[in-house]
Amino acid sequence: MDFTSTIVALILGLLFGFALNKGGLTRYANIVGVFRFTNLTVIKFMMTALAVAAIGLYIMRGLGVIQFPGAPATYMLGNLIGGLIFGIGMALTGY
Amino acid sequence: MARKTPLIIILLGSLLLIGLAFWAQPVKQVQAQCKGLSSCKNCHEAQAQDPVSTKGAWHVDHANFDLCYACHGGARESADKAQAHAGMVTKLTDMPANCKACHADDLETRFKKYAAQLNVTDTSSLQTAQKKNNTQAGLAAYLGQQPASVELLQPAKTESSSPAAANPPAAQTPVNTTGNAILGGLLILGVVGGGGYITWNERRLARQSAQPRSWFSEQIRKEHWSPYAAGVLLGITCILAVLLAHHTLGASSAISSIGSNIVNQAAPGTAGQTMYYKFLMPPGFNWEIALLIGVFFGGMLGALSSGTFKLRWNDDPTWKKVFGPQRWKRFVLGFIGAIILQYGAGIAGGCTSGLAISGGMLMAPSAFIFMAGMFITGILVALLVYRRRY
Repeated sequence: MDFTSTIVALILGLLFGFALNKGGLTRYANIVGVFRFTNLTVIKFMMTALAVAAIGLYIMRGLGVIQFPGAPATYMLGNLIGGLIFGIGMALTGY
Repeated sequence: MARKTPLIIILLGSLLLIGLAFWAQPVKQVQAQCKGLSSCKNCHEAQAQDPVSTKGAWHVDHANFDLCYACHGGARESADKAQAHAGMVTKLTDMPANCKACHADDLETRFKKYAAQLNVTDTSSLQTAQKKNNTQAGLAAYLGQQPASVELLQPAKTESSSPAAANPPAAQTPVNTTGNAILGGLLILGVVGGGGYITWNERRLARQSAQPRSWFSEQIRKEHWSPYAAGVLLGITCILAVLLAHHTLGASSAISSIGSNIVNQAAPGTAGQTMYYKFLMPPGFNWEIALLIGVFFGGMLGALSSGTFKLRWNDDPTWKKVFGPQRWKRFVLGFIGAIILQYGAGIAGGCTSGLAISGGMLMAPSAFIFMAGMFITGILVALLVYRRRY
């Protein structure tokens, strides 16, 4: 870890945390609300981020500006069981 | 009493799932979660510059791991081709020793499997390798032979023949002290700065001024943004992460890395030598930890900017309505739930940010499988917890 990449990571983290806070993702009611279909903030937030990032990244790759970093590995059963366990924790804590 | 039943069901259910995870074999092949790949796997496989994962059964069997360097050495963090390949062992000459680094217990079966495919008939090296007792000794000896082995590993310099090698090295080489210093500094900064701010903020609130503000500062001061606006900001952050650092955002692997640091400090000889804590989640101050520190302060900044920054223990109205106002309940349930959450993230290979968003934006199938799983149990648990109040 050199100094520059630490600073870059810190700044990106600041933006990340700021977006989470402003989007209301730091609130229990919002996280649990999505599982009760009473409050869809999480879905709106996540899917907007996903769409913006995907469009931006694919355009930039098409223009040859960037190369994709390694995507998370796919192993069906692991991803699914992990997701199932994760969902329990998420609905329980609201983090 | 009746209110406790759903909780018990949830806890038992999650235990069952965790048991299921142990039973299901492929789940063992856990990738480094929320984390970019090594440069080996990135260039060779992700960018398909020279894919080896289908060449030879040994590669196929290990392809789900990001462990190229465990056998071949080299500098897995360097993106520069020449640098990354420095000190690399292209052809593994001492096969038993290589297998032994991770598979000490069933070395013979593992070795024979590949020996047949490679037409290696000379098993004398196997016997010598077996005579060298102890996993750590084999690993240390093997890694010690490499001139430029990975900095993170810090192999203990023991000679394979010396009797000391039979015992696990007592004191590991200290882990990245610069990183610890930075981390400590930031923590102190956070505590001092946070405390200072609270005093300042209290005074500021006491003499609220009412000046007209610009549109921009008005937006920054808003407590709630439209989730779409915040989502766009996060999307841009994700793009910046790839552009500036060639990384994806994620949170859960930082927790595991911090755990690995603790484990490697507390029990370097035993738990620190397991495959997970040595190879999959090596200790050290890494990119994800720096990011997580940033997230903490970023969230704080968000609350500060809207003037809602406050120390809270349990003041969420929804939570209070369901579980009651007791503070300890929030703590206990939060702690247990967070363990379940982190465990799930470990198995899946990431969390909502590192897998669902970062994987989804690269159109990785894993992200969508994960989200499906997350919602299945999330909805069920919410149903159980809320029942009639749903």
